[in-house]
Amino acid sequence: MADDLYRSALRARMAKLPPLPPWETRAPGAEAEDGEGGGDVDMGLGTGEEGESAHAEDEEMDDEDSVGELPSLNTIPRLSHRSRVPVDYTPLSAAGYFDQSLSLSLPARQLEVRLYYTPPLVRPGEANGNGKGALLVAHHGAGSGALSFAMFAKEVREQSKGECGVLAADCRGHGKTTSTSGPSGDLLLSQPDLSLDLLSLLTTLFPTPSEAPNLVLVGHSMGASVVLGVLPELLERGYGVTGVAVIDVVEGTALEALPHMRSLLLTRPKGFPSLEKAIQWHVGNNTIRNLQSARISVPALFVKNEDADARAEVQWVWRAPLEKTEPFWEGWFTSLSTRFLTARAARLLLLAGAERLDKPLMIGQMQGKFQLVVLPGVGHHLQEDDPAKSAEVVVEFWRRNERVRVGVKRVGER
Amino acid sequence: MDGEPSTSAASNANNWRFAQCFGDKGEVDDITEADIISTVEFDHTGDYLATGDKGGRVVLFERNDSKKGCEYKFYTEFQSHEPEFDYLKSLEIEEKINRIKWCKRQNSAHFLLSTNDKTIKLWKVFEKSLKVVSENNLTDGTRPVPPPTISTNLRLPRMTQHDTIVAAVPRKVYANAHAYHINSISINSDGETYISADDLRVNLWNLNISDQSFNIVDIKPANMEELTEVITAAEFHPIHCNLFMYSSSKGTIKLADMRESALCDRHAKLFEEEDDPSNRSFFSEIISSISDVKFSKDGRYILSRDYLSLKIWDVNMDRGPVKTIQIHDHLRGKLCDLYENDCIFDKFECTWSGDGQSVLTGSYQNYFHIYDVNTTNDIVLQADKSAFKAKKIGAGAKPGMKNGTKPGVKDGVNIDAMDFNKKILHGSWHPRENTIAIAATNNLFIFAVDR
Repeated sequence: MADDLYRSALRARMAKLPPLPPWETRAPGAEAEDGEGGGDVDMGLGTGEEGESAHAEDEEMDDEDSVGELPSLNTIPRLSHRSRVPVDYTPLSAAGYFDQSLSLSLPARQLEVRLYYTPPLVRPGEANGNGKGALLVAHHGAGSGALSFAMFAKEVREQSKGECGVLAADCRGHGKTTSTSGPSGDLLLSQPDLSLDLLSLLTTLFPTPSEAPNLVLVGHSMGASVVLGVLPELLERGYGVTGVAVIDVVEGTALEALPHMRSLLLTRPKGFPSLEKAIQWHVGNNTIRNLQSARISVPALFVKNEDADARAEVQWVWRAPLEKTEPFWEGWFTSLSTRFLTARAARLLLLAGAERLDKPLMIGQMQGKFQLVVLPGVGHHLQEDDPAKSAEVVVEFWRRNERVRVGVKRVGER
Repeated sequence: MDGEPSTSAASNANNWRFAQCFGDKGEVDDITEADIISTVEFDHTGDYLATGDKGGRVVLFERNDSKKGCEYKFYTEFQSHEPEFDYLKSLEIEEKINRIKWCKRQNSAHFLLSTNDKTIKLWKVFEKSLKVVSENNLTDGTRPVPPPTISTNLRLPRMTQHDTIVAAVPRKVYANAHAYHINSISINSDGETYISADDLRVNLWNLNISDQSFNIVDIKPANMEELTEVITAAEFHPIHCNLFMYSSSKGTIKLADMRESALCDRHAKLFEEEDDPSNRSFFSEIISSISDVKFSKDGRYILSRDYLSLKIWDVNMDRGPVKTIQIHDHLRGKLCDLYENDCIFDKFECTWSGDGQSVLTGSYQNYFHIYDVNTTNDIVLQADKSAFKAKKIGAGAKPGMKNGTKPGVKDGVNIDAMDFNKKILHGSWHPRENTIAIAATNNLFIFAVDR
């Protein structure tokens, strides 16, 4: 149209006009008013083409009008109900998420390990590996616990219809695992030590490699380092490892963040008066965004404070004093990327929120050496924040790599 | 000023009568969009009338002088512009003819400029006599003859006049000079140059050169987001070949002198009326936008049309108009609705009469107004079926006229029921007599004053 330019310029200017309060009365068939004829702006705006926006505005105004006309009737509460419903922060039992809760003695490692186990359902004749089932072995991160995989385990069982089992253990110095050599044993947290612990655990559970289920190693944060350390050993001994999944840890990013860790730990409260408060704290500062998962996993992070009397503020203190693990931090993360990229199994990297790879990983990704999945809307504890999606990704990863082709060597098989 | 006795006759409502109507006189509801007339223009003699429509066609009518008086008949029709597609901007270029301007007659052929949004074309319309072979060596026109045997009997074929057709040929195409939509063209009194104006620029052309034009006015702001004003019309002075004027959407008319500099951004004269602050409303700016501006034939006055009124300016006085005529002031209260249905952006044209004593402009519901410049007497006529229906009725009824020629009494018509789809935007006045051609959607009405 000939005057498109003028009209569009006019509309652009009108759009910049300040909006007026909605209670401005509009007379039907209004006269144009002087100066601040803003009421007319609201009415007048909306030509034939923009009829929808005009109607939207009308509807909007109608809504507000109707609420205004019924001030005495509390029919439509404007505020959400959320503030009135109390949030439940009570701890939840892990029963129902894992099949079994076991305590395993590892004398060679001087460890009493608490582990949670959902065995895989083995259905003979099905193409799940070699009839031995599959097992996800999950290792938690520093300062965390095996129950961080509770909701994840339940989802895995549902999504794999039981074919895929889950095994998660509290590692040394964490959760309900205790060291038989005393408190000093709790602080042997170097990566080789932790890897040996895990190896001992698995070899104790499944002494015969050929009869062991196919393993998928899942490591969260520090757990990834442990898992990658144990992988070559497992393969050496003849265990079948389908794949290794690393959850939310990138060597470069982790090493860069280490200097800040100390100050971050100092800002943590020394303890909490109750487990509810502890759970609330974790959810409140978005460490764990999923309340239900926090109710399951957080209690295991605390132990009763023996030094406190009944009236003390801090009744529950941290089980794992992370500040004391500082000497081991660098060892956990150094050469993590290389070990991941050279792992002789299928590789999966699950990241939270954003894809922030360091240089070796970026190159490796471009070379197609691993599968990268980025989950949006989750925090560092992504298996807790979105257990369903995490489980879906891992199960799918397992399924895809599990296929057995006679005569064809799987990745990592010798 | 020719001593036509119709000077006073034109201002007398009783003298105006409906003369002719061209076009599909059916109900308005299903008009083919392409038939909507978009411009009307008499030539300098008034013997020829050109109309352009939305389908890119130009239709010419020729005066048929008979004892009965004013009568026009169809002369020729040609497709002036075709719809185009701008691939770079993914925009359709409409073929609608925005303006037609006749060149002064120099020989037996007619030359006229027609323009759409982007391209101006110079058309040559001429009569071509078709000659046909009537006799040759094999036939004598009626029956075959045996071919001659000796060379001396060989004859050249003889041609006879068979028919005369009117042919239209594009002589020049002035393309790619405008980034925005062309709204007016105006041929200079020197007969060699013309200007074309789009929303932001005015270009000067030579009729003989189609691949070059000079930009003489540019009001494009450096940052398009700051655009507040566009050019709405431009016209050359009828006598002084160095003067031209252009009107803007902000209600200003600028007179520029080409002798002053190559770029005429600085006006020689600015015609702007001080806005009455008490009357200021949200729509003030939109309704002050001048939709058309015309010089009077003697070049002493300027006629401008904004949404609600006509203003007559003296070229020598730029302080304010010498006359302001309210056309349909009752619409002032309905500006809101008119904004919503986009009618507030309607561009009404305005025209001077040949003698400069009357002005013509259109309104809604197919009404148009003829005002006497001196007395501002208002004659309201309607270009509608009622015009020729009344004619059929015959004696007694004054065909084509509305009762109550008193301005202000809005004809007893219910304003709310006014049909804003029927509007008279385009019209032209015969240069020498009181005959007007009005475009009413897809119909062309001719009204004339009884002689």
